[in-house]
Amino acid sequence: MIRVAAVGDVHVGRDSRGRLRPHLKHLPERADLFLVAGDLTRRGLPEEAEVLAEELREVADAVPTFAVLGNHDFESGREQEVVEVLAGVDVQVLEGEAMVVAVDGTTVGIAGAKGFGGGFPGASGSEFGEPEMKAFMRHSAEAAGRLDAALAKIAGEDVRIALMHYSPTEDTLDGERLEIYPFLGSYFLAEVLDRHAPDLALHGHAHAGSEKGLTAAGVCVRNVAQPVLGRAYATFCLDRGRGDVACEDATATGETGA
Amino acid sequence: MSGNETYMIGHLEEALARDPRVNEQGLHVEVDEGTFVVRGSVSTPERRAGVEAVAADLLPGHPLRNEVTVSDYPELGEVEAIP
Ligand SMILES: [Fe+2]
Ligand SMILES: [Fe+2]
Repeated sequence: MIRVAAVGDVHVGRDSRGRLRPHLKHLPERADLFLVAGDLTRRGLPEEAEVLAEELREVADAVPTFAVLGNHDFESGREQEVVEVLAGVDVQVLEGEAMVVAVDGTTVGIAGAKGFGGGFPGASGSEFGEPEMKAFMRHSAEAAGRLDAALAKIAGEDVRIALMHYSPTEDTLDGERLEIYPFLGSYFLAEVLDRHAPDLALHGHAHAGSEKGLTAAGVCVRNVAQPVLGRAYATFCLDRGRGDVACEDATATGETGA
Repeated sequence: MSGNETYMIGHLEEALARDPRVNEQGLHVEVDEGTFVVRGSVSTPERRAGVEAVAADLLPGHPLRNEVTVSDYPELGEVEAIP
């Protein structure tokens, strides 16, 4: 059994000190790893990353913690510094990369890539026309390519999780205005997920979307944007690998926890 | 609503997304009998106050109703089993 805590869109700014950490207090008892689905900061400044690093320090000390960047983290063009600040507290930011951790003898692979917009079948952009439109859709295809590369690296692991910022499905956008779907995700990501069939795919970005979805081939998708969750983080349990505790028991324990 | 107000809604939403005092793309603006009403949530009281500052700079003299809430997300214990 593997337990995964996840949240996206914490949008930490210099005004966020002390606002996140108190709500992560029990996370290390409840999860084997922690995944953060992008929009880590408000405007992608290293000073904001410093605040986030302090908020995450204790959790990242206790459980392996991984993240992807979101669009907000690119606002200031200093995303590489954000990545370095977080690395300083052992929060690894993944982009087209994967990490493997072992939990009680079960290997868990995390494949991370930000992804991008572009839209969904029947209402998608095309790499056609003005250079700006081509660049937009090319970024979408490249972003999906990086997810593909990351998932390929963890093909042999017992549990495989895809971590993105943008949505691979329309399911988890339900609640958002239809007009902005092409800015919220891309079916290119779902296509990649279906090729690799990970156990779970997590994303954020769609603050007004909904929590649960599936790709066409049935990959389990969860939107963990904090405003969607309405709680500090979501916890998932996967009955995989060699552990002898079943999720049912873990769920029961979780519900009694304060 | 006048055409002018329609475009002002667009520009205010854009400013709320871009201005460092707020930087929130999920806020919605409507006009209610001449008053600009902003709805949605932000994660700190400073950003909620920023909504008023941004609107005052962009639309001086226009009445504003700030219905933006400051979100606080509790730590809950529930676990979802993934099949
Ligand atoms: Fe966000
Ligand atoms: Fe985002």
